[in-house]
Amino acid sequence: MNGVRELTAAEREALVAVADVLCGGGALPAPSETRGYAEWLDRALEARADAFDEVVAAALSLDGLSAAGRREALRLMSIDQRPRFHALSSVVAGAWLLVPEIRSALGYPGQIAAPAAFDEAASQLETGILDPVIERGPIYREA
Amino acid sequence: MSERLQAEVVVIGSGPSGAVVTHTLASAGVDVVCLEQGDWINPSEFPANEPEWELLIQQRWAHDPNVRNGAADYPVEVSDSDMWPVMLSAVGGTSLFYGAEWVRLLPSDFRVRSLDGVAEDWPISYEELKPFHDEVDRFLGVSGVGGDPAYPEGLEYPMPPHPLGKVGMVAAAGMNALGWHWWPGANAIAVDRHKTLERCVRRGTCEWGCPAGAKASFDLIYLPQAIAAGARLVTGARVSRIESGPDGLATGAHWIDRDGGENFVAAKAVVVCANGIGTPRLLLLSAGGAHPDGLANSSGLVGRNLMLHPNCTVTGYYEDDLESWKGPAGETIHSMEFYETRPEHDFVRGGKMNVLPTPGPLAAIEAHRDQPFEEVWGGAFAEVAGRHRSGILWATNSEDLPEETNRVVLDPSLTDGDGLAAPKVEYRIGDNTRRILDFHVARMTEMHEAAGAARTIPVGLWVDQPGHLLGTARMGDDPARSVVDSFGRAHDVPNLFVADGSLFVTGGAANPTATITALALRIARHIVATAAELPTPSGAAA
Ligand SMILES: Cc1cc2nc3c(=O)[nH]c(=O)nc-3n(C[C@H](O)[C@H](O)[C@H](O)COP(=O)(O)OP(=O)(O)OC[C@H]3O[C@@H](n4cnc5c(N)ncnc54)[C@H](O)[C@@H]3O)c2cc1C
Ligand code: SF4
Repeated sequence: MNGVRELTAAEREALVAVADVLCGGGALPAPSETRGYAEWLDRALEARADAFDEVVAAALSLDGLSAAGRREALRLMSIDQRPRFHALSSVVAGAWLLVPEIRSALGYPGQIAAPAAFDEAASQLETGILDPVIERGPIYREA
Repeated sequence: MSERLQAEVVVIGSGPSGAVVTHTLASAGVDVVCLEQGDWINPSEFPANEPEWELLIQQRWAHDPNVRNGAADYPVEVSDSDMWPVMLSAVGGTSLFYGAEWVRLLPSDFRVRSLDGVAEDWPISYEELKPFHDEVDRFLGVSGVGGDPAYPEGLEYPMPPHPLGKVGMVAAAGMNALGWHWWPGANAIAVDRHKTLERCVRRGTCEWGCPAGAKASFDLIYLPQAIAAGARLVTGARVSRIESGPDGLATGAHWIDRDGGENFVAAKAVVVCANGIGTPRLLLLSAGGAHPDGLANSSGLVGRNLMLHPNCTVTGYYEDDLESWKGPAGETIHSMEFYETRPEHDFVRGGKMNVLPTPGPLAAIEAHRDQPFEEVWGGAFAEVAGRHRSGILWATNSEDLPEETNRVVLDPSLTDGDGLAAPKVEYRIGDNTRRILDFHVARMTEMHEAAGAARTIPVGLWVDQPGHLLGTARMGDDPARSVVDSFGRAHDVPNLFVADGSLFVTGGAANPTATITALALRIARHIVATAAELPTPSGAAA
């Protein structure tokens, strides 16, 4: 872990406000209403320690705007400042996608071990799915 | 501290090619030292062990060394290139990141000049290489289904296939509807415990390191066996120069350790396995004396004819839950339907297509980034992220033909952490390749439609995916038209060998590592067989 400094209250507020614009408004609770979002935001910032300053500055640059103004500013940033928007959106939205409640709502178990049943491959092939390819015969080019 | 070692053979690089060479030599009783600029990476360190793996792969574990900027990496100057080569400097090399799709070239790949009137034929044939492929496959425990009709008879795999999964079944049904070739994927991923590999548990993050130790990365297989057979592996050892004596023969290799110390290993033969970028870089860095334009470069072809297999993709999202987070990734299925030249096409040669799953909700967002803002962000976000479960990625490796202007040179100003000149890549995608890419984007879109995709997202060129680094020290019988002979021996320096993707005369469209390792095995066997005839360098320098 590289270690990043703690966010100030104003910085955290600015980041959560961005997250609400980028991830909120659908059927799931917005980041500001999602329990645990703050901790996962810290973890996301840590994972992108290289972009910490840029991400925080980008969020602070939208301070004082209304929600609609922030949305429009983010839309413009996504076009005119693609790398900056990429870092900002990856961190704040990526953090939301780390919250267990959100992951389970999205049907994401994480990259867990899911060993195949011993007959899974064979039973899929036994459906005959490969037969048309075999029936067509060799397709390679003589050389 | 400065070290001076002695060995019969020094191997530079411990990726798949270096690992196979080192193992083959050590097993035959040859005293071999392998120098690797990277370090061991334990599978427990890989990002997939953490929930935030999708963020960790953006920078700390990025494929692109210019983004990752690790201590062992060297930068690559790419401002005059359409694509950015990616690789990893570690014990096991880039295989810690590869997908382990284990696909052979086709017979026609070795005879492109004769069959299609372009590029050059290889100095060896599919049949000559086949026994070496079979031997490597057995060692690795490659998994697949024998009898692929895209190949001549006799292509069998030592291990059964991985399941097609829902992703593979749906994609295959689409191919059947179109009547096009497909076949279950061939992967160097253990379906069951095999030698030093664990069983694959389908964690799906193969391209950022397999946390289960199931994927055949060469730190986990071949290198352990090489070390057990007596090979010496030196890590954190950046080779700065291959030394040559007044008679032009190689005398050994200088390396810089992590403390900046300068070291030397004297050897009777040197085998360069530093990949299609690192190998020409090192040969050019080793200019001097009898080799004013770079070691083994009297043809002027060191660094030229770089081929990168430009990739295009079409991701399809489906209504059904396809469990697309499950691995391996690895190819689920592949298709050689448009691999060969056809009279009706406006290009020669073609592409190899394969299916991958689409693990991770942030990856689903990444795939949609170029869509209109309101269709990805805000109220749409959760729905788009949720598509991660229902994605299928069709990708194509296109066959880019060798062009002398596509090349690796030494950058005049950029250096690595040890002050050595960094490679500069000058690479432009040719018209033929562009047509192959456009054609395949259209076909892959049709394939998704035939399989029932709800929406498709094409990517005409994957700029940061070329991990296939080929052609920059090519083989051939004519010393004026090639750098090494068919056994990897440099025409100019009879005790210097190249054994990695630099050897490729043409790129084919199959993922290259199966071919790289089969060639490496053949070369190593040749070194063993002809060891007694190796010329003895006079006047070892340094
Ligand atoms: C994301 C990704 C996915 C891929 N997927 C596939 C796939 O599915 N199938 C497939 O066939 N291929 C795949 N590849 C390509 C595959 O990784 C390479 O073909 C393979 O690793 C090449 O082996 P190599 O030994 O020639 O080179 P590398 O694996 O690159 O190893 C070269 C080694 O040399 C070392 N080295 C270089 N210069 C020096 C020096 N001066 N001193 C000391 N050491 C040095 C490097 O540190 C490195 O460890 C993929 C690549 C990437 C990046
Ligand atoms: S799918 Fe298999 S090989 Fe890939 S990361 Fe998971 S366990 Fe490893």
